[in-house]
Amino acid sequence: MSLPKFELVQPKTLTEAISFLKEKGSETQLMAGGTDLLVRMKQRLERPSYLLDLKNIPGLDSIAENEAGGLTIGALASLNSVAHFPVIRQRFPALADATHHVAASQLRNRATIGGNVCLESRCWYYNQAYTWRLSRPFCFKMGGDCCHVVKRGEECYSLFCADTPPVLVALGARVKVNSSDGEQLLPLKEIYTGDGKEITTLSRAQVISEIEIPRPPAKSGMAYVRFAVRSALDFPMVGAAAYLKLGEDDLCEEAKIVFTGVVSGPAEAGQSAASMVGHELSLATIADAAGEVVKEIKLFANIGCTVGYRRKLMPTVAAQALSLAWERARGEPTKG
Amino acid sequence: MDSSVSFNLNGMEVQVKERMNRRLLDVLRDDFNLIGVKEGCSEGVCGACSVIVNGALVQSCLTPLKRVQGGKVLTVEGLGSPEAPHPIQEAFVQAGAVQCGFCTPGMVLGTRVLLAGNPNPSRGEVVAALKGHLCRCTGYVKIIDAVLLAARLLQGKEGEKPSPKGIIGASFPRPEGLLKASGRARYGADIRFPGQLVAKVVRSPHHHARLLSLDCSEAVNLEGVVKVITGQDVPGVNSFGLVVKDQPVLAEGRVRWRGEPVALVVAKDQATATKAAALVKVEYQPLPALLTAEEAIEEGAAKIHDEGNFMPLIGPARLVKGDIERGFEESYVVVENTYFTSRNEHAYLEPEAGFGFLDEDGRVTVRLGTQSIYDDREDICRVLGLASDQVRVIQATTGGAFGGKYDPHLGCLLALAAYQVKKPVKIQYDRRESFLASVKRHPFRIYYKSGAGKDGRLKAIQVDYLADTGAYRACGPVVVRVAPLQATGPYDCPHVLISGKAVYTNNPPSSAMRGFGTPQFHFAFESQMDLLADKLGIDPLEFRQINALDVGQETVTGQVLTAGLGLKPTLAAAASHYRQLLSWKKQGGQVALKRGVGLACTWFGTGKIGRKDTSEAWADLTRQGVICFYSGAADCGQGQTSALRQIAAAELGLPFSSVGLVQADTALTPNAQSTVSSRILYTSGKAIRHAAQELKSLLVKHAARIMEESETGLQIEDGFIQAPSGRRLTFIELASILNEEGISLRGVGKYSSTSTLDTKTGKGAPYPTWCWGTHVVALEVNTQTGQVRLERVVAVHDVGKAINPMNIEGQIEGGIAMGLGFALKERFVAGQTRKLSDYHLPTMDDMPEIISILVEEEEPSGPFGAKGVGEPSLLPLAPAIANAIEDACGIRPRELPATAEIIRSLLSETTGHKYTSGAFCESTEV
Repeated sequence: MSLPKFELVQPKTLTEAISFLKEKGSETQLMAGGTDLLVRMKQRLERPSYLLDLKNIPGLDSIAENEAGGLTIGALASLNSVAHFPVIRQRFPALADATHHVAASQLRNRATIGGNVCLESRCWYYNQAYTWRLSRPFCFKMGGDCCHVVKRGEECYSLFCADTPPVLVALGARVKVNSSDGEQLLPLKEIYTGDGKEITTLSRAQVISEIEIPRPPAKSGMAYVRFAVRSALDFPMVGAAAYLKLGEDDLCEEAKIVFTGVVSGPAEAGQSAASMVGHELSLATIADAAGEVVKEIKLFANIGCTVGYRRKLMPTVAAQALSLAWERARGEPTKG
Repeated sequence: MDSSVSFNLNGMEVQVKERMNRRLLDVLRDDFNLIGVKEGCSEGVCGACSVIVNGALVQSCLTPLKRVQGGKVLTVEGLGSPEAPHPIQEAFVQAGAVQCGFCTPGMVLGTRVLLAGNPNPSRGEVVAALKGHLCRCTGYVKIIDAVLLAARLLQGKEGEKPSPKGIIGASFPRPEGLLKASGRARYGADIRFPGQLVAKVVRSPHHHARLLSLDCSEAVNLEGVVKVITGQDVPGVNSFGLVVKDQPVLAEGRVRWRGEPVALVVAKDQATATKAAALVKVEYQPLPALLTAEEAIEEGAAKIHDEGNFMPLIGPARLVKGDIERGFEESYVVVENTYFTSRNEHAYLEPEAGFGFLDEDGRVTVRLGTQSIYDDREDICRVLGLASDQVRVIQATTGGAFGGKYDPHLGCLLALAAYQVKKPVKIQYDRRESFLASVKRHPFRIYYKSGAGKDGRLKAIQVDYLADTGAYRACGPVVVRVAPLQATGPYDCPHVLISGKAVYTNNPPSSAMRGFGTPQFHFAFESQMDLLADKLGIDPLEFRQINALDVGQETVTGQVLTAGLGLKPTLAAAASHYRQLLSWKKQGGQVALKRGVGLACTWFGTGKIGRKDTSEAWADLTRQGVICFYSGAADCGQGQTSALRQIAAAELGLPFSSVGLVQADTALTPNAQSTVSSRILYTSGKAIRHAAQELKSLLVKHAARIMEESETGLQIEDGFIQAPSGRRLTFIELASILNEEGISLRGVGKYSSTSTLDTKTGKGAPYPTWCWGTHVVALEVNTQTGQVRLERVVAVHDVGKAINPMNIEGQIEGGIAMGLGFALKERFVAGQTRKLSDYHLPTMDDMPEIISILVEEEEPSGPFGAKGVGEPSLLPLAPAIANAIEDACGIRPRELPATAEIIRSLLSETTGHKYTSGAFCESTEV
């Protein structure tokens, strides 16, 4: 399958990239790893006149601990380099797990964390060749006014399936967004629209250059668990990131549960997580909290899984992630 | 924007002028003819296009050329050549890791990167590194072996490999192995012609529609378009089909499945052809789409064909043995159930591709990946209105087939295009088109009622099936004829009644796929066996031993079995493993993970039914003194290239390497019919052996005459004929003397089996021989997610005499991988399953430990006692898995694939699971 015609622009600096975007942003697609973008271009889901390749900008793929003890990851860092970075493996194990689960090793050599954060949503109707999409009226994502997945749906019900965003959201990561207006540091959570039609609020003139993750406090733990048909190649059917912080008294002080693969963006189960705060944790309290998650996230069926099954999977996956996070917060394996 | 890109390619500095922003894959293949870079999926999920860029493995189909500016690119060709192979390439061939070879270059390069960073990987580390590479043939076992062997070779830990001892029963690596492992083998897409054109098929986007009009004018006027061909342009008859010629090459008037060809655009290149295909204006009037067999048989359903929606059957509608009523009266226990299986895609790693051209004499010549050059030729002749001497079909190296490349549609399209434009034309499907265009496995709904007596003997089996044969007949009529013959399972049962129907639907045509309808029935009858055993309180293994067919007993068609009965020996060989796994089950660990052990048996008739199953082979002494064999049998990766040579060499008493073999070219090789029904080793093996015998007697006769020696006592040796007196006559001397005398030596071998199946009564002996086997499966079910993980499969197969054990193991391991997909993961839904990432082929990480045990009950009629194994290896796995799932957690899947979702819903008593066949749930309410 060939690529449509486009012009490849390979700026050497971020400033150069931004000034190009200011001028031609509307006809331009940013390319980081290209592993998803190029597939979508082959399907003619994207037909940019220009591909702005960020790969040759020095430093954009760096990974480093910052002064505050947190982590600064360049948007162009490959998923394999994130997965294998020693500090990430030791102190951010959920992020190492999430990156390590994406597709296959040869793909992770190219795919980047910035690309994963902005990963397009998926849909059984939309992700097919142009001529096939023509055989039905255009859906929301194609600029039409219906959804072929959810009958009478009033917005786009495509699925957001990226592995790293739930972890990054749970850890309170922020992204550095550059544009001709300067740079901004935004909580990652805020860039997601939750609508399948446009995954992020970012404009075509903006570039994510860095991701900052705060230093995890003492007595905190994080985990990412995903369920997919196969251990390689597949997107998660359900992925859950968990973050727990224990107080001096070992009671739960802070809790986060964030899902991927279930709706059109990272989905936080805030109430379920909050139900653990102030309590002593046990496998039972964790199971109770995990059992509540489906009540606060409205599901729909798209790609390979019914709503009923996803409802069964979410508490299981969330409980696994929470138990592992709890284990890590205590620094010991869970008993029982 | 003109710009040039420089990089180091396989050690050479190269520069490419690049205007188009092509993918690295296209540049490597088109500009540098590096055909070892394979395109399997176009979306980064198969690993076949992997190359090494600056030391890291990347997918060249997702790499724009400009990204490698200044970098170092290594392809499999740069690693080594057949003459000077890299140790990794050698290890792949020696270990039997190369079958069709299409995934091999990517695997080899993945191994290279892995071993560079970790010279001594464990099996687990190999899996972690390579699990993103898909393979459909090998079941991955031998690939992991090859990686470990390569690691030892590279560290000098492995000495010279001893060459195989003897001929029959020795594991000779396949002769074309290095060609494949070094990326030099030419598949359908790898052939190049000067001035070649490209054809692109315009396909229906509707499941069912009236074709109102077809306007090609805009497409024809596009620059670079040579011709747009429609059904009107077919010079002969616009229909083809393996059994009944009911399918148009290019649809006229009506389209019956989403993906049916309506026009063929021939243009100067792929991009132009694709663009022009989109400009062909087709006006459709959509008709109601019938997407399940149930919908198609409803009263008042739209008629898909004029004759209605029931496909006419060959043979009787009912197969009867004994008296079914009496059988159930005599039964102490009765079990009644309905089973469902889904549509499957063959998903060979090589999407269909080929070339059509006119040769120097104007003969229409087609070179493509195929299972049957003779069936292709027959339909091409019909479509073009030509005699068979005007059409030549040559098999290109074929990257897996499994029944899917038996269908002649691609051959017809290629021939039609070449005939119309009188120039070489290439057609190369991408994965999406392969999924759209190719035939599928039949989904079945099968009702079983089985009864057994207190003594544990089967008394009665009643079967009623409904098969979804898709839009056209393809192999459907034979599939629904063959499968019921095996519906009792390999057991003695006095009272049997089998009935069923096959219906047309607006799905892609259902046709041949590994097992040919029998995997579906195996799932049902082996599930029933466990249910009966349970009701009787008899151990499942013992229950099968009680009922296993034995010499002198009769099958449902009245065939009395006389020899080559390996079922009881396979059960005996499986028994100790079965007991051992039962104790493994008791050591179960985590609460949520339930362990289970299950077993199932198989029988499978080798060869075609209802017609003479014929194979011919020739053997020559060439003027160079080389002994060369000719067979029309097409190897698609199974390994006949070595096994047939072994049979030839053994018969002549020559070393393996001294025998030549020319395969699968209608102009050069005699008819071996098709590579289907696990028949080639048996039928072509026999033909080869007969040819060798005839050549041998000719060699001895003429040598005796020339040497003035008596024929008795003359011995054929490697390159010469030895007389007891000590005199020798070399093959070269013999050949040159005979040449002067005007004599050419050719041994002609023919084998024809006699299938005596009566079309009226359904009685007779459909197969000359049967293959038998038993699988034992140990697995764990995660009761929270419903996911099933196979731990171990013990596969015992009666293969007759094992000609090449390594090839046989490769077939068994590959059959288990495909069986695992059939049982747990693979479902093709027309309109929804469009690309490889939608269709869950098992990966390396999904594979269990496999213990293959060969039982060699020699088949007296087979070549050196051999029979087939290609299909039997798949058949018992799904029911063994279903039986093990019930053993683990008390629920029984009656639908395949038994996905995690189905298992999970069966486990939750509140909701339960609603069975449907060919589920098509494309829309849900909020």
